[in-house]
Amino acid sequence: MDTTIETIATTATVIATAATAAPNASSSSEIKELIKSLLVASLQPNKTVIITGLLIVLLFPVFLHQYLHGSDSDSSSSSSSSLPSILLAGPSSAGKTALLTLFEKRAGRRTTTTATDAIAGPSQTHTSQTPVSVELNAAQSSDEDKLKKFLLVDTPGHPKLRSTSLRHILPLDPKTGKPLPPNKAPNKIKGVVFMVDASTLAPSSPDSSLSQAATYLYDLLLALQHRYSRYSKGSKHPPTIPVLIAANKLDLFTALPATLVKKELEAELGRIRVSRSKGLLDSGVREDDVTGEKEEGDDWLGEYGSDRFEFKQMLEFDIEVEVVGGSVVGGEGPGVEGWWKWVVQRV
Amino acid sequence: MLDTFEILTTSGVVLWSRTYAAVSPAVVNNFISDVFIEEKSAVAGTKDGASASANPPYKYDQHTLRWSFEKELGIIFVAVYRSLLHLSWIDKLVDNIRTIFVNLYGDQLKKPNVTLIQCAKFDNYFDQQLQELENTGSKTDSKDLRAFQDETLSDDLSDMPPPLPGLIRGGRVPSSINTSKHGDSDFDTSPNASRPTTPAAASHLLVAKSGPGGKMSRRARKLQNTNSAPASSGDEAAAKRTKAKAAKKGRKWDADGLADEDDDVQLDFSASKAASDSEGEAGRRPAVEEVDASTWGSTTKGKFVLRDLGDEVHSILASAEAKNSASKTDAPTGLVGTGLSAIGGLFRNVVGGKVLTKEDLDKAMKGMEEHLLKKNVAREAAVRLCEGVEKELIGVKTGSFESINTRIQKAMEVSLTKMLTPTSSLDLLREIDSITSPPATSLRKARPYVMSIVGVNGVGKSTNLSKICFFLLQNKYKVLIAAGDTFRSGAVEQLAVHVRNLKELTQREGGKVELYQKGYGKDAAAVAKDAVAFAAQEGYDVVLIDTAGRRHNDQRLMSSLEKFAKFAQPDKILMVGEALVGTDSVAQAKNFNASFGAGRSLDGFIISKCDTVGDMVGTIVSIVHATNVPVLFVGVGQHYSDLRNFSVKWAVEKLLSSA
Repeated sequence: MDTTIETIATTATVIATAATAAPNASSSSEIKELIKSLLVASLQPNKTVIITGLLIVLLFPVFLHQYLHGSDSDSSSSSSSSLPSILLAGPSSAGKTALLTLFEKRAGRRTTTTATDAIAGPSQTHTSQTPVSVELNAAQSSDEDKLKKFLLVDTPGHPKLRSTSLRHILPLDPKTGKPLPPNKAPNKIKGVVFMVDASTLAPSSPDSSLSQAATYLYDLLLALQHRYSRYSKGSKHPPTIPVLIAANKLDLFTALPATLVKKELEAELGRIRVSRSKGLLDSGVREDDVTGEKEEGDDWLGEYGSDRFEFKQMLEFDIEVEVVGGSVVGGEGPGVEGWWKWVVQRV
Repeated sequence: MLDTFEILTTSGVVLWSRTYAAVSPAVVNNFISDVFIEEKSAVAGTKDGASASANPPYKYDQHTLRWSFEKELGIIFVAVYRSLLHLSWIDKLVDNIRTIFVNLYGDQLKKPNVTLIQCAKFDNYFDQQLQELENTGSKTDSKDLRAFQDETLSDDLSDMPPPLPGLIRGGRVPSSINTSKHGDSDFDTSPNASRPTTPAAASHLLVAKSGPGGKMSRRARKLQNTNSAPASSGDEAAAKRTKAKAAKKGRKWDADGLADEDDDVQLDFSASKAASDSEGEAGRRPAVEEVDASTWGSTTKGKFVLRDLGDEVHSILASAEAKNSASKTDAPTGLVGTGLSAIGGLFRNVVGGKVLTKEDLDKAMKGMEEHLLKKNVAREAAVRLCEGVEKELIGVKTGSFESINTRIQKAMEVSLTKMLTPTSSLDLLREIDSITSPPATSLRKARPYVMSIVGVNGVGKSTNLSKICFFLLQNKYKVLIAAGDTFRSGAVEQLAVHVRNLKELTQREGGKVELYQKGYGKDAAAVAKDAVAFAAQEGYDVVLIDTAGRRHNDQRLMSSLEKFAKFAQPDKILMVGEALVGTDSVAQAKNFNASFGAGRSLDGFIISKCDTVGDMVGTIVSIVHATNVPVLFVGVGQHYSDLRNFSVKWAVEKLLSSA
């Protein structure tokens, strides 16, 4: 209480000095008297003065914040960032953004039920540069009480911009630049949908996207593995993030079925794993770091020392990997239902 | 004509598009990745410039793209057309469409977590703009053309007295007499009909000016023309009516496009039609007439709908322009106002939540530029990087308790990371494996993987070559080293020493290495070619070709590289650059990158002597900035094992560290 009174006293003296120093305060003594009485009243140790003083002291920062950050806090950034999110990743031109727009359009149709948007296909898309997120509802039926809203986060697939999706899995503290533990991360990731273009995945096809897709998947799985091994304390583990490998474009003639996609990716991931282990050290890593701090097999995906890589090995790190085929544009064969079901289950 | 016009967001969703001719999506995809992501165009700094004309056109596979970028909303406006065409109004179209679109749908676009917007109605706005601009474009064109025609007419015919009056009068007089609006268009059709080479665009003019008059029935126009034609050509024309009909079939045209017959046939067909009542004439005509009439009908119909839109569009454009000019003249008012905003600015600088302006950034950017220069980044690269970051940051709001400098630091880190990150995977071992033992299903034959190393004198080509060789030997490859330096004495012997050392070092690891040499004075390209053939024969996995050091601005020495690339067909050409070198690194990288002829460029850099410069690794930024070629390895010491993969994170940390 004393401190508050002191604060008020200091403010009052400041005002008083300002008032006396002000040259344009007309010399009439009445005003001086008025100010004087006001100051005296404000320094009286009675309840009202103390309460108003307290209110001013406490509310000032709140108003200040409102004034400075008012305009962006009203947009739903604060509310939506706490929503669970599903990350959409994968190499360029796999169909990530198309899937996003398709889901969004379907959601729009379900709620508004207007016949204006009769075309249910995905929007036409091009190479993305920035991530975008869409708020979706995973409720099975409209009368379900609890609205299960979630964010679907689309990330660019261009190799130069891949770090954005890995940032989502291993977020950095914006202030210090140090890695953040998952429980403090700004958004809760419930799952990762990794899209691949099944029609160009065959290693024999002329412009095979296999090695590109596998490299990206390797980095992604390794990030998930690091997240698990770094932030586990005893038997307490960070919340699991399952991975769905969505083999897109199954409507095309050259597309591999989901089982083959899985086989090819596993084989390629195994090859990457071997060549990475044999590769040169990264610049900046000192010799003594390697033998000292770093654990053996820290950069080895899956079961250390195993011959072949299989997605099953990721279960050791609580990462469930599933491969489901489908097609964004529809046509014959499976559509996007399988993926949607997976997403709904995970949210 | 315009092939396609697209409005898309930076997140890749096409909001609205109009396609006239199918264009492969690869065109726009390549445009985005080249201009926005990889920033290949030299003037990438202007990418958020206000006008489409300020942005350099992007050319890809016979198509030209004009574009404009709305940074605040993250929307790109792209117009694609064939490079052969010269469309002067495209810039204007892109700009106008951008203004209209942002005005109409800006609010929808600002909503978070939504990618779809309702813009089905935009079709009409676009049509209106397109038509209007096409008209203005073709109007000027045809005006030029007409002026030219008149000139040639009078020039050529001034010494041909008899046919002149009839010809000129026939072409011109009806238009002056015709009171209805479409007289104008009649006048325009006359050059159209007489000159098959008149651009098709001129026919749009007809649509534009027709107005309500365009709907007039044929009979009515005929009637009008019968009234006017006799008045113009007088009794002479009436007398020659039958003759004109006969002449129509066999008219000959001279080089200037003028009738060389000396009858005074009217070239204005709509006027002469009045005179032609006979069956033969009528049989030939209607085809032309009917096509004309149908286009008139449909577009006039469209035009009535568009009239209101046109007004709306014009008001939008006008208000945007007014706002523009207002913001330019808008000076800070009053002393109190500036004082308050200054205090507020200072305050916000500490607390955060400040919207950054150019003035705020200027000083801080200067500091960042100085910092980069101190890190040995070439001035050219530093300036462009800073410009890019500044453009990116203008209008951005800083976070809570974030000062301008930390915001700039963060943005610079992002843009450096983006620049240094390679576009494709750089796993050397996997590449070698895929070449030397291709998958059984593919049709490629196994062959040795060829790598060559180029660079300026004394940067450490041979040293780095042997470092790479050591790395490959540890992975149990059979390596052949080709001595391509047939010029400097001692070069071959130097390699021989390296090979001897490497043999001893890796004996128990199972690798195998040999030297392929042909002594001095031979053609290096031929030696390299022989070495590759020899390696294929003997079953080597990798061929490493050393080359002579050469000055990058010596045309004579550099020109031999093209032949070398053609003869040896290397899978990878690496250039060794010193970390020590300063501004010259940009020129070195550029010249070497361009020296292998069309269709071949460098595949990567090795930055040597990184251990000698400490934090000043700016050379890496300079060369990647100049060429867009990634850095593969960095040399960090004197031993064979002192070769490292390049880590982007490491480089960015060093560059931004302020020690």
